[in-house]
Order: sequence, then structure tokens, then C-alpha cells
Amino acid sequence: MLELLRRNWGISALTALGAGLLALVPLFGSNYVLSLFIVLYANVALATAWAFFSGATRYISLATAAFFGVGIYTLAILHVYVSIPLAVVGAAIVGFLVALVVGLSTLRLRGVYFVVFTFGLTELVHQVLNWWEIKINKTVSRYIFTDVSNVNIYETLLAVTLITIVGSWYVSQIRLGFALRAIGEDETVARHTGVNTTRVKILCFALSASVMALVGAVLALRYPYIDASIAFNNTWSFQVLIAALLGGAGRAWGPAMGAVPLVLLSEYLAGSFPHHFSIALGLCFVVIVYFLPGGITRLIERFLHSLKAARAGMGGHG
Amino acid sequence: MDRRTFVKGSAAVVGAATLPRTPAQAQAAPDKIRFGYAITQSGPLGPGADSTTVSNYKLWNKLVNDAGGIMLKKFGKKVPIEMVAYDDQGKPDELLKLTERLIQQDKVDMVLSPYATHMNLAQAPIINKYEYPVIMTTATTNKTYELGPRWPYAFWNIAQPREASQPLSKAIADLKKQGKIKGRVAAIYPSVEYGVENNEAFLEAAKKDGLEVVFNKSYAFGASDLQPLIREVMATNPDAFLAFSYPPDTFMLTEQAQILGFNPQFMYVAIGGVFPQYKDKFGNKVNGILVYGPSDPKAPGMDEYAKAHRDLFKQEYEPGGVNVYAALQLTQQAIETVGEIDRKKIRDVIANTTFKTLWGEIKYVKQLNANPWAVGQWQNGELTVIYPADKAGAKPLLFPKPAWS
Repeated sequence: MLELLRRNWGISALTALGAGLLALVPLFGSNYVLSLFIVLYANVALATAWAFFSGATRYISLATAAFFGVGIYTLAILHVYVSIPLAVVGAAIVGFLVALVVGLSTLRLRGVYFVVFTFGLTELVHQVLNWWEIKINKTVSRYIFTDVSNVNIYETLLAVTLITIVGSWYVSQIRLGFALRAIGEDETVARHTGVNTTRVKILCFALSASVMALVGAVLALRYPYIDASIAFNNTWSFQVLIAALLGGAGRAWGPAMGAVPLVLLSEYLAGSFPHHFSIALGLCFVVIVYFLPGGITRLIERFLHSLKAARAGMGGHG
Repeated sequence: MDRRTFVKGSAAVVGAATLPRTPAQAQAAPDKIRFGYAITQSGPLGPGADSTTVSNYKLWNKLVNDAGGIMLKKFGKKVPIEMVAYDDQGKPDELLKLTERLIQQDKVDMVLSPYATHMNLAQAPIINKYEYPVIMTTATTNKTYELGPRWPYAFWNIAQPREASQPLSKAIADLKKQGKIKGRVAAIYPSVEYGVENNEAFLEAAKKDGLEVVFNKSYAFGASDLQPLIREVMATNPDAFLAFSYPPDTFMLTEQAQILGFNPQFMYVAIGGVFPQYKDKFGNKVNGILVYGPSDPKAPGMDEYAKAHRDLFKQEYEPGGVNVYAALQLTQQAIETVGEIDRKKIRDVIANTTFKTLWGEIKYVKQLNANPWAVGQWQNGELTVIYPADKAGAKPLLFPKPAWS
């Protein structure tokens, strides 16, 4: 890790500086600014967690909403019995375990079958929970009453987001990340070169799910009321996927580059064109597919590359 | 100081120098009163939010401004209103963020209710934190009884599950006492919050009233065929049939009961039964059917309201949305009583006044509407209000429900 940091000292220092500045936002920003940042961080963390697994392995998952919802529900159930920090950590663990069980049974599915399954997973968890709530608890709603301040939620989500991005980058630099990418390139070849593909896939799928559950649990601290349809809202799955692809799912910083403009765009649309959010999301997707297959990061890299090339060329003449 | 306040300030100084000083001139009247709301415009709840809530916000905005605005007696003049609207996409996070945007960035004077129970509940703590009085117009859950007092700035306008279910149970018990009915009840409900809670509230009341519940079952929300369930209900031979249903199932049930020749003497369907489309679809077969959340079309002012609605939107008003308009009316009355935008005082007036509105008299006890219209019935092709039976305008129950003809 230290060696890695030394090799990338420039970007590491920038990240640390940025994180320090962002941590100071609550000193200056209004509650609205904090709320906006909270939604931003949630989207960035979810998109990064999604890309960590799906970007590298190319197993496209639509189960973000499922794990996100598991996190919300775990918090709603646990916060009555244990302290809030414990309930939040509990949510991450439950998310991890659920993904482990799901992963064991489904990661042998490939391509479109996997996509359809993960989409169905959200609905499955949703309906099972609903059934349980109605039969056992005679209601379908839960209430979350906490006195956690916006500032605490802000700082927690900032930390979760940073850890997710840095963690995702770190893994991409070590053997595990290499194995993940090898699976994405060609799973059979990866297996033949000695990668235990099943173990790698399930571990990373569960890690990504635990971050999603964690984000759900932290956001849920702001909801007084939840029910299954709020917790398992499929829009999250699509929005996160589009954000990650827009930014570029191949780089640790990529999903953030997509999530930030998407959240800001939706903030703008909410006020100016309230009926058009879904259309904008659809248009984004079209743009990605036709013009930006590598996402915004690829665009920036190409730009930087040509800049470097141009400078090198000038240097040659001088 | 920006330029506009500077100009206004200078004008005030000049005015003060040349004219005798009166209290009204001590402070300039605002040039607008701004109302803000964040409501679902995209997603599955969008159309419902439009027809019940947003249409009334737009209509009220127009009618108030046509009349010159809201009277602020502190300044001795009418001030026009303006709306700031956002789309919450049906997500509580968005709603919370946009509510803070309305209050902190846009600095609106008042906030209006979002749409659907969970969104109303999600907004209550935050408007309470900023001390903005809001009348929640689309929340019905047993939890409001405990939650009401928790947030002094939130008011709850419509009939809660107990208020909607108890009169039904009592009506059946009365019919049984008169020997008109055996009191065999079948109740079904979709597996959503609304269905579950209303069913529970009804079972509780039925037990107290000594009714015999011969059938009680839930069905999946969004079910595409309810005929098997209706057949099961028919096999138990009930004389009262209740469905705590949502709009798609309300329509489906009514249609399939006719197909199967199921003719209960007492029949209740919940949400959607008041829609104008319900009458359009079933014509006079709706007669005798009891429905949730009505409004009285004969109430004073309703003719003008219906006409204004038709003129603006080219379609009939939704009776379930009249309570939204009533909430706006009483908000206006409260502001006019206070005479300025002082939200603490406006809140106190709302909490302690009996208001006359399009939706009848409204008085809040512990912030809950003490006597809202809960159950209506179609009679002679017209929606009437039945329960609470002691409320002004209530019609007697039509019994038995005529058989499908």
C-alpha cells in the first residue's frame, strides 16, 4: 500500500486535500447544500461500488436497489435494539451475507441471464419482505426515529464514499483486481491461468453489495417512514448503472465523474422541467452508447494524452 | 443591499418625509407571497399526484390571483401569490432535499403538501424543524394518531383507517339489529400499507360490534385477475362485502363482480370509487356502492369550483382532491386572520380555528382533522356523502344496494 502511494503521490495528495476541503463544507454550507452533497455522495458511492464489480467483470448487475433496500430495512429493524453506528455496520454485514448467498447460487449465470436475474432479485426481496411484514407484523411500514444530524450523515457518507473510491482503486492495483479484469476479458482463460474465478467473483460481488447496503442504511437515517416500495425502488439500479457508464466504469474515479453531473442535472431538471427526468436519463444512455462507450474518463484521458503528445512533439523541435 | 431593496428603501424614506406616517407604511408590503411544493411528477405516482393535488394547486393559484391575491391586513392590501414547484420523482431523499431547497434557497413563504402517505410522513419532520405549517392532504395511516402530536407544524386532513372503517362496521351492525341483514361479512384487501391497515382497523371494529367475518384475505397489489378470489368470497355467502382496494383493483372488482353475478346487499370499495371515470365506466350500476374519501357535490361553492376546474383543465374535478382545495382555502383564511406571513401565528390559527371550506367544516384536534368525510355512496348516479352521519350534508344510507341490472 505504501509503495503504491509513493508511486502515485500526486493523485494521492490531491485526493487527501480534496477530502479535507469537503469535510469542511458543513461549516459553510446551508442544510440544502448538505442535502445536495448527501445525495451526491450516495450516488457516487453506489456507482463506484457497482463499477467495482460490474465494470471489471462485465457482469452487468441490476441488483443495486436490492442491496440498497436490504441496508435500509436492516437499519429500520436494528435501530430499535442497538445503537445507530452498530445498526449501520450491521446493515453492511447483512448486505455482504445476502450477496454471498445470492452470489453462490447465481454467479454461474452469464450475460443476459445474469442481468435478468439481478433485476428479478430486487422484486423477489421486495415481495418476500412484504409478505413477512403483512403476515407477521400486520403492517407494511416501519418508522425510523433518530436524532442524527445532517452534519453527521454528511461526514459519514463522505467517509464511505472516499473509502469506496480509494478501496476500489487499491484493489485494481493488486492481484485481486487483475483477476477481476481477467474474468472480464475472458473467464475461461482466467480460470485456466489459475484464477479461482468463483471465489473472486463472489467475494467482490459481496464487497460491492455491502457498500450498497451501507449507503442505504446511512440514507435511511433521514427517512422517518419506509416501506418495501420505497426501499426497493428500481430507479436506483438504473440510475447507478448509467452514472457509472457515463463516467467510465474502468477507472476508480470514473463513476464519480458520471454520478456528479447526473445528480446536478437531475437537480436542475427537478426545478425547470419536472416531467422530464426519465427522458433525460434515457438520453444520457443513448449518448453513452453512441458517443462515449468509454465514458467521460476515457474522453479526458484521450485529451490529456494528445496534450502530452503535442508537448512531446514541441519538445522534439525545440 | 441589492438594488431593488435600495430603491424601495429610498422610496420609503422619501415617502416618510413627505407624508404623515401611518403604521401601514412603516414596512413595505411584500410584492408576492410565494408557495413552494415538491411533488411526484415522474414515475408511477405522477398521474395521481396531478389529478388529486397539483391540479388544485394550479386552480387555487389562478383563482386567488384573479381575485387580486391574499389580503394582508397589516399592510392593508391584497398580495398576489406565486408557486415554486419541483419534481421529487417519488423518492423521499429527493423530497427532503427539495424541501430544504424551497425553504433555504428559494426562501418561500409557505410550503404545500407532497403526494401519498409515505411522502407526507417523510416531509413532516423537516417542515417541523423549519417551523413551516403544512396541511398534509394525502396521508392515511393508523400511525398518525401517535405521530400527529410529535410534529406541531404538520396537520393531517383526511380520514385515517379507523375513521374510515368504524362507520362501516357500525352500519352493518345497525342493519343486523334491524333484522335487515345477517351480518356475515367478507373483506379483502391488497397487500399494501393502506389495505392492510384499513383491514386491521375494520376487523377490530367488527369484533367490538359483534359481526361475523366469514372471509378475510389479501391479494397481491397489481393482480391481473380477481375472479378466483371473488368466487371464494361468493362461496361463503356474505351479505356485506368490503374491499379496501386501490384504483386498479377497485375498477376490476366492480367489473368482475358483475360478470360473476355477485350481488352483495352492502358493498364497499375504497380508493378510486369516487373518480369520475368510475361513474363513466359503470353508469348507473354504481348506485348503492359505498366508497372511500368522498366530497359533497352539494356543498356551498361546489358548483363554482366544478365550473372553474372544467374551464381550466377541460375535465371534471376529482372528488378525492376537494380536501386539497379545502386545505388551501383554510391556509388562506389563516394567513388573512394573521394579516402577515408570521408562520408561528399562522400555525396557531390553523390549530385553533374551525374553518368553513368546500369540504365542510374543518377543525383540528391534536393536528388531526376531527371530523373528515370518510365514506360516500353513489345514489341516483351521483356521489353523496354518508359518514360521519352526524356531519352537516350527510345523506342517509341507501340499502340494499340494487342488484346489477
